[in-house]
Amino acid sequence: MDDLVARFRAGEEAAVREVHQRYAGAVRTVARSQLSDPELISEVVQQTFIKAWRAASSFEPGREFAPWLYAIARRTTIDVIRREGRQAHTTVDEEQEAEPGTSESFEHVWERWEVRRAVDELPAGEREVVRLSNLEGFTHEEVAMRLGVPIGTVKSRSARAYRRLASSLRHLDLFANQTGVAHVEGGEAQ
Amino acid sequence: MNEHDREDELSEDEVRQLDALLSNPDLWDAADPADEDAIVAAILAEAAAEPEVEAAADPVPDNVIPIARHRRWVAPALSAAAAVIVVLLGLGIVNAIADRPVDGEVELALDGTDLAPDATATARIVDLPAGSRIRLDVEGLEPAAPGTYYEVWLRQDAEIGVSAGTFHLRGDGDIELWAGVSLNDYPLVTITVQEEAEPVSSGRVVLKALATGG
Repeated sequence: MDDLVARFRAGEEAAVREVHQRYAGAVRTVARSQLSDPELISEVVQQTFIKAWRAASSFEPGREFAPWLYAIARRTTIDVIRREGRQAHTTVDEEQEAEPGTSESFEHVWERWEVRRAVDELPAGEREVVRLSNLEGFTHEEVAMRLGVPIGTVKSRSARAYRRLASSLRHLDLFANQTGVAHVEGGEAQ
Repeated sequence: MNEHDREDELSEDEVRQLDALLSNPDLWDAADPADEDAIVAAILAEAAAEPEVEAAADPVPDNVIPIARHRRWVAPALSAAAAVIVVLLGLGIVNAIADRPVDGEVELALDGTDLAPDATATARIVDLPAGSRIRLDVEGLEPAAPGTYYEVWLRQDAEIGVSAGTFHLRGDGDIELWAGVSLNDYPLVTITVQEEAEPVSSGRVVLKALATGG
């Protein structure tokens, strides 16, 4: 990761694209938690990576890159909200208000960031199975038909994906209580 | 609820919790390729305008001030200051010395990074029985914005460090912090800007210096 950050800091195009591809989804999750306007969400994403590049010279090698970038994404989101001079989602409709991922405080955003990162790090085949099952609501049989693979493959991919996610997210203490993220964000630094 | 035969080794609660998390549409919101192109274009343009940005990659840049170098001028400076104070005391202008130098105290100059290029700070650090006392004199650093604060760290390297406390600079006054480790063992001093409730160092260093020994 240090090498990638160093190349990112140097403005190497491939590194900038790789950093974006690794973290863009998570950054969008932060922005979408507070904003509904697609243009503002895009602005937050773009500004977050540009600010990160500008500040990369002060990033301490060896540190965790993700929490550092998360802090920038969060601050950028707040700045956009303040600039717009309104609270997030003042124009969203009731359906959007009811969505669990919108119009929420930042209390759970770190949790969402981490979950998004864990999902993005799944192998593509496993991620697609989980997406079709959880977002689209398909059964394993339906997923198998859509992907053109045996149902056993779908089941094994799903099992592996869930184990990976559980392992990746265990540090959030999600499984100990429903407010695990508050525990994480309230922890002592270092 | 999805089919459960994938959850070998996971409890029902764990599966239920994961199902709830994974059903959030935000998780599946695809990144916009146009964003990536815009980011690359902006960074490449700015990088081309500022090729020297790479020079800042050195984790111990030229803002590092060795203790030894400072001690050479600190001692005469303190002597001169002491002489002035004695005169002022004699004149009745000063009736107290709040910050009398302490044996073993070292002075470290911190310089601003790209995040705070106009900032400077002097840290006077002394090992006392209760821990390391750090007195900071900061100049040119903006008060922390609402929702943020500054945090001082003593580090062995970029990975291992101990927080020495926090401050915000929203008013006048001395900054005195304490650390449970010694500058001898943790010679890198950094100050980061933090978001409230941030779980770890943000990595956004605004001031730093390295004590290289006396």
